[in-house]
Amino acid sequence: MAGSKKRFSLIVTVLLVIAVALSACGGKNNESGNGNKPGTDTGNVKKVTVNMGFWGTAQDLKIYQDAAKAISGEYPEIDLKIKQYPSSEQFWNTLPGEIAAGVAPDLIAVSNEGAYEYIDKGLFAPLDDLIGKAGVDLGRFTPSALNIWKVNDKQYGIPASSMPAMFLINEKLWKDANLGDYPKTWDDVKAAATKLNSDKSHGIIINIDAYHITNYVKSFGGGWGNGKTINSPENVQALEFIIDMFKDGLAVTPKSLGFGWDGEVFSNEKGAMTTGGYWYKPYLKDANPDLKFAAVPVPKGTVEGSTMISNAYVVLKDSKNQEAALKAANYLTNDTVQTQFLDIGYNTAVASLSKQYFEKNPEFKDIEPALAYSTDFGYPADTKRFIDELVKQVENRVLGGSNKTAKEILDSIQEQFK
Amino acid sequence: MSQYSKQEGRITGRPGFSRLRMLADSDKALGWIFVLPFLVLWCWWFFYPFVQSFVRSFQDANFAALGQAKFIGLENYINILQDKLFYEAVWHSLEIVIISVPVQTFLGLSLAILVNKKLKGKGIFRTVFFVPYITSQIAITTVFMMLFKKGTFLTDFFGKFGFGDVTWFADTRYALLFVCLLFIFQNSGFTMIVYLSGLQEVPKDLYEAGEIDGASGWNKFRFITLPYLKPITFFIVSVTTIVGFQIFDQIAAISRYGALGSPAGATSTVVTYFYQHGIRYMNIGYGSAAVVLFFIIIMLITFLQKKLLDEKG
Repeated sequence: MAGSKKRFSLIVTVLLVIAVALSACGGKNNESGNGNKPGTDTGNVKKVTVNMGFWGTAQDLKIYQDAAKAISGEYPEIDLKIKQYPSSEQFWNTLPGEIAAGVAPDLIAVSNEGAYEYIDKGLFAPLDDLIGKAGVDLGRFTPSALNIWKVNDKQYGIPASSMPAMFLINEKLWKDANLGDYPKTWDDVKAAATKLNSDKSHGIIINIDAYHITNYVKSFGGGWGNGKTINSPENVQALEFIIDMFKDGLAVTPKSLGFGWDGEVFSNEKGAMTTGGYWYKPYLKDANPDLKFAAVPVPKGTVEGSTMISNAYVVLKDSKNQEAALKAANYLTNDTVQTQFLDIGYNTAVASLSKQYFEKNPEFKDIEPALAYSTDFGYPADTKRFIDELVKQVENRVLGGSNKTAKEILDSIQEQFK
Repeated sequence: MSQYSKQEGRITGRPGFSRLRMLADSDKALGWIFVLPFLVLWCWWFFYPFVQSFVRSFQDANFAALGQAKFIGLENYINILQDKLFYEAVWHSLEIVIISVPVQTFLGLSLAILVNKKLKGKGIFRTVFFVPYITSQIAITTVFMMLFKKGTFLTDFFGKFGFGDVTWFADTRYALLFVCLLFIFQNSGFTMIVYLSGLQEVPKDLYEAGEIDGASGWNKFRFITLPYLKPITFFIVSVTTIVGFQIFDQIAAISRYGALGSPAGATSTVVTYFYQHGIRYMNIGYGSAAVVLFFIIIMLITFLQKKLLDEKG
């Protein structure tokens, strides 16, 4: 009896080992990652799977999914699979591990905010040799958007959109405070914030995040200069302004109110003004459809300046299907797909369509002049380390009770990015 | 009926006896077969990556170009030991452990004693206390974040005891305490269940003998229950210490949309330090060296705990 029990146990254990071994091997043939099938015969067409990764809203996903269904009309050989990441933060943190494990997408939709680090580290494929083969016509795109994705004379992305940062104002709170014209300078903003500050709502939301800080920096004539000008007098002046806004009790961080980002505070009407971007439109439409907002260019510190955020389709260097991935990018930048993005608030980089942008998105009409002077972020090559350090030091000053001056903060960061 | 001679160590039975059957009848071999699936997975998922991390810790290795990794000796270790942020992270990890582990142990034991009594509805209590342990950490963190926002009844309540009415996880003074509270809340159900299993193993006749000798309730607890629970206490303290050092999800949730260890590095720990350098900055050589140092720290602390408990007992 004991012997048969043992034998039964042995059989169960052997079966378990086999099951574990089979399940361990089972992952090899999944379709995620760039270790995908280089080519599969389906009827007469040799199919190639292109995995595309992005982060964005539900509306973005819908457009991508529709495009994935329709792509076979133009490229019957391409099977486009879409993967949505929960947030930009998740995307940038997950991508290195996926690249190292060989399971990263072939094609990604990324913004220029975090791209330079990856280009510098050689993770994105230069597209110049592939552009002709994939039949991409670069002449369709606005030169400013194309240039953002050109590093050392090599093209690293097929631009999808480009749009300046903006300054958003809650229309109702503004009118209730009997304020007149929307602000043009940071002094105007400060004066308005004093009136808008109340028990229910804060004058201005300043998210301690590199994107927002960079917009202040640019409006004071500064910039990070890819790490060379971190502690420039202009940058110091901009950071001093931010610190003073908190010192005067006019500004609030989303975190202090228990929110994740400025959009959440703005949609909950806990803050009357904030720096932001075009993505506010689809977000607010979902989060607070009744909220009326005005969008104006980032106010002037000493000059007119703001960041230009541009999304592009980038092919990963380790992709086994680079040409097919670029063809997919070409499809995603066609007039049909780009018109759909235009309708939800993206200013497409396709020159012929871009003209319609401000007609279709009249709430952004005032931002048009900023297209002429908005520029790239100019973060150092170690972008994430720089962003973390900047955020940490400014948080420490604003939320942590540190007495460091703006100059001391930027000097110490500059020291690390010589 | 097999005829396996233990003395001779060979099969003496019928010819044609299968080797498999011999294997099945051998306790030693069967033991190995039982642990084999775990052993294989453990080697694959833990031992191999650890060895790889150890090797990488001596390299200048980047995720982006692992093929170009080059040997740099102890440089990563020297750089880490010269980085004040590493010490800050170690100190934060120690703070979490020093605050949370004794509270969890005490709370777990107290709850276990409570639900071990003949109470009405004790099954419900057991479930209620254990639920946080099996609930998603992110979900609990999100709920706690809502509860500890400025202006809620909890921050208002704590405000009466000298704490500011602020959003705890956004304030550098309270953010780490917030993590500790979360950890205590989530893990006390686990310590309770382990203690409960220990309490049910204590022989009843020892208590009866104690009662005959006139021992008070406290003396029975001190001289019977506690000594019996010593191995359980060691297990709980070791496990919660290790888990405390490994806290990550809660901190990642708090730092959502910001730098990991937010606000201003107040919740940075050894694990977040590794993650930032090894994964986020793609410097896997440097990150691996941090992991090896982390391993040594945990080993040392576990060894010290064991020694301390052995001496006390």
